[in-house]
Amino acid sequence: MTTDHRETLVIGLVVAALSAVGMLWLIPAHTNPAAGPNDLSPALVPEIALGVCLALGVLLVVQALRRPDAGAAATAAVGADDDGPRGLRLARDLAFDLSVWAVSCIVLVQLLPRIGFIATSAMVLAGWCVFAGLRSIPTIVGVALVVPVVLDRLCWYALTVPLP
Amino acid sequence: MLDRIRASVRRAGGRSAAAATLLAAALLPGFQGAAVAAYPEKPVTLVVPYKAGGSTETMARVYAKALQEQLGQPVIVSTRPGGGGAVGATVVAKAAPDGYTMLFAAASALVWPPMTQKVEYGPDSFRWVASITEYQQALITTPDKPYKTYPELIAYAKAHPGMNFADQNALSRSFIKYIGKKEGVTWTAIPTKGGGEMVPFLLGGKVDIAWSGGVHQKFGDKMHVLASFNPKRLGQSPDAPSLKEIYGIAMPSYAVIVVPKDTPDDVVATLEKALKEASKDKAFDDMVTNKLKFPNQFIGSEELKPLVADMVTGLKTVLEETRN
Amino acid sequence: MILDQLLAGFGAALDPINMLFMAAGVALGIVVGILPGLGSVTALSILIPVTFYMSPLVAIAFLVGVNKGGTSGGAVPAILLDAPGTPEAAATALDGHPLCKAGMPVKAMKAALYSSVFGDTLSDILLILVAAPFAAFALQFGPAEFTAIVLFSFTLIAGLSGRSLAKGIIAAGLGVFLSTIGLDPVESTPRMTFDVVELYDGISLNALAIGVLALSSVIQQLFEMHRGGASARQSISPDYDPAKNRLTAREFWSNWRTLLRSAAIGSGIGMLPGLGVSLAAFLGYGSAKRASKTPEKFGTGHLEGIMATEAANSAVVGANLVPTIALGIPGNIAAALMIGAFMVHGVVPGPFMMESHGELIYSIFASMLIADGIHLVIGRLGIRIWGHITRVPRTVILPVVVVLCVVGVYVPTQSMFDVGVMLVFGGLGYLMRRTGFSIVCLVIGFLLGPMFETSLRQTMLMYKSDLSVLVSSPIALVFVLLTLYSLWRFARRR
Repeated sequence: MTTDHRETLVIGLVVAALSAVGMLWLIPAHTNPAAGPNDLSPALVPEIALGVCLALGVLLVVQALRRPDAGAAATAAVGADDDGPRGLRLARDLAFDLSVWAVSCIVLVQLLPRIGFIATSAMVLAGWCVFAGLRSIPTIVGVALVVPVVLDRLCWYALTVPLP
Repeated sequence: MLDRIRASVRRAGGRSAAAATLLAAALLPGFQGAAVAAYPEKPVTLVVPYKAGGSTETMARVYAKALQEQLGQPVIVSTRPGGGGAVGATVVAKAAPDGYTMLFAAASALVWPPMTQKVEYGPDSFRWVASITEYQQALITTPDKPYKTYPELIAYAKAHPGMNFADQNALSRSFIKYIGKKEGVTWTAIPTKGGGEMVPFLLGGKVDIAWSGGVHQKFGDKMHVLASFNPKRLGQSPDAPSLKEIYGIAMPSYAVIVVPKDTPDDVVATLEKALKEASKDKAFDDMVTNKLKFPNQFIGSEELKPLVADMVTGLKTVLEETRN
Repeated sequence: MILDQLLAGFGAALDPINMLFMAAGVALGIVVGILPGLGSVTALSILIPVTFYMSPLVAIAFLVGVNKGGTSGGAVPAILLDAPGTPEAAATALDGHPLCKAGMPVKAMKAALYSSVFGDTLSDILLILVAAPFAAFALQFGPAEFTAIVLFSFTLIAGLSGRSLAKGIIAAGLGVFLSTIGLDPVESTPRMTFDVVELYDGISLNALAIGVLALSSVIQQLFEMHRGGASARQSISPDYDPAKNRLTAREFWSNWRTLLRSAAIGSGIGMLPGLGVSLAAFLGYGSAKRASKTPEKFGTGHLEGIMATEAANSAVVGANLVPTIALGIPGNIAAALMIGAFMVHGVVPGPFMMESHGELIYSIFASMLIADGIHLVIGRLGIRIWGHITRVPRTVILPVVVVLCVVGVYVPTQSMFDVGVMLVFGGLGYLMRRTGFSIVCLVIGFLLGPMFETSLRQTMLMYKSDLSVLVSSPIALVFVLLTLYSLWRFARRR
């Protein structure tokens, strides 16, 4: 089995599992029945939407399993990515990236109401500049100081919206 | 300043703890001044729980401008449509009780949903600060229909079951059911999201009759009033009977401004005074009386209390009648 | 008759103060439109109070300018950063950003601006000529017709799903599912809200769109740079070469079919209340790709893709005033705000507007045409300024865009909850990008889901569960047949 197929398999399984949870538990537990005789159930549209996801998730799994060797054909049929072999690296990258992102979001959301927009966004700006590989300290400091202040004043004077 | 203190004292009457503080506030102008000057110190949000483009939203924008001059802070109109006003009402009921979030809505949106569905507010979740006008709620149709008067409509509906009736919220739907039950006619309620959606449906012949919150007055003789849902006949259509004359029930018709219930008394007093002054604004008055053709009548928080109690009992009657 | 009135209108509209305010409106609209999350709607609602002190003509002309500029400004971040701030510019990014990477950002921006002005002008002319008769036609559209149109729009997914159709449909399904969160449109009962009051209104489209469209793209580029994919000094458009950025008249007009088609689609959508600018943009892009002899070029930096999208989304601006002026019914939120502005200035939109305020209306029409010219000039000047952005290193500009996204979501509703929603969708969007799911399909599903559900349920109630109206109404039948045709064509091509 090629990495592409393993990737499609995993994606298909995850999609199918999540849709199944949504259809079997989430929607029935959190919607009410229809009231009128000619009305559709409020649960119908969400069920259809996730039903489609479930069916196609299963389809992805089946296609990945059925043609493990016919790489080109299956890729054309399912149309998986053509970026070449990357399976494990992708998973590792995603795990790393999403945790970095989650941490930075939590920091942002926690700090924004407490220390205000200017201080928070200065930290966020500096953090991402360094993360992206910028090493020129004057530039980083300049950007982190000027941009938040300009934005804050602009929102207040031009749009009359006070930022936190 | 004096008015402000007087209003505070009036508001405070009957409430022991709050009254004590406020009395102190009234007696010590310095203390009172400090407390009031603090509000408003940032922009105030006026939540309109209906889709943009309706008469409430238009009125709110002009009123917000007048109110802005009174409060000395920007008043931001924010539309939160859905659930016949229930969405916006929930937002405001749960907002911080600091006077910076208020709701401008039909009184029915605050009384009716709590009786019929699981919403997280009730009429008591709010401080009813003022009412600034009355909606011109009517049962309307287009002039090309064979029925021209309310009795003719009932006769026609008895002969043609299954007519389509555009409602705009659960309350108008219940009143439609109530009439149907009293007269023994069946019709289908089609949900629409406010006047902006009802008008094309009615003019395009997709529905036969419709509930209107006042938008029909923009359309002159292209729309025809059959009856009034208000306690009285409508000023613009004196020939159409009110449902109260026929069935003894009426829909709450007041456009009210409310804040969350724990809003401090001094903030409410400041607000009520500003609201009253703003309703005298020339542009607002012109808009309400001449453009929308609504009455410009200010009702303060004290006079509003018995009216709210009346609404609650009235709607309970309708609900009990239509439930079984 | 119309010409006489229009000439008189030009007389009034050519007033220097009027022109000045129109120019200011266009410029403000473009600047606001460029910021992610802020489009015409935000710009209009903020600027309407400013117009209280102007004369009615100047006020409306100013707001018309804002509306025009706001719709075209969104193309700039889509092209330069692959970060469309609104769904209406999402399809612009598909071809615009590849062109930018290939060193032709200015050419892409020029194509976007010229197509915008073209679509807009055509739609204005249409408004002036057919406002009254077409309004009557718009009334033919009821829930059944809307259901059919939305059904047809779902076939767009096939053309926009990228490399994998299955994944595209999954993304759209997720979008539809997400759109059903909130109070039920008919019963007003909660659906998957978990008693979170901010979810009663549903997930904010603004927060979702900025998160998955703009923010996720920026995150992806940031992580790529972290891995050393590009040097720290690298600018947005590394191979920029002025010679490659010329857009000849021949090159532009060789796509006249696409321009006309998109302008027609945009105008049609604009005249129908409730469909919206974003749908017009996606339909314009989708049908251009469908009609093209070389559909595989779309998404790789094809000029036609940009032009199809921008001509369609700008053509909505004029046409959505047709139902506004003729019926007093807003075509979309921007038009609803315009109705409010009209009323503030003593003009009641509706069937009597033409009779009682004919002079003013024709002056406004004339102003709209003049504003199209102004839009062209100011937009062209703007491109020079935006061109300089391309020289700023990506390591600086991308973190700034992250902060801009936060501001863009916060400003319209001042809700921290929406900021959180945007950040979560930024992460989800990044995950989808890396695993090959189409972001655009997610947004289309989210846009179409509620339209489909509400119209379908209204139809069911109105026709007592009898859906034969979908074939007995001629307009609905046309769209049902179009749906079947595109499904058949699609199946045959596979």
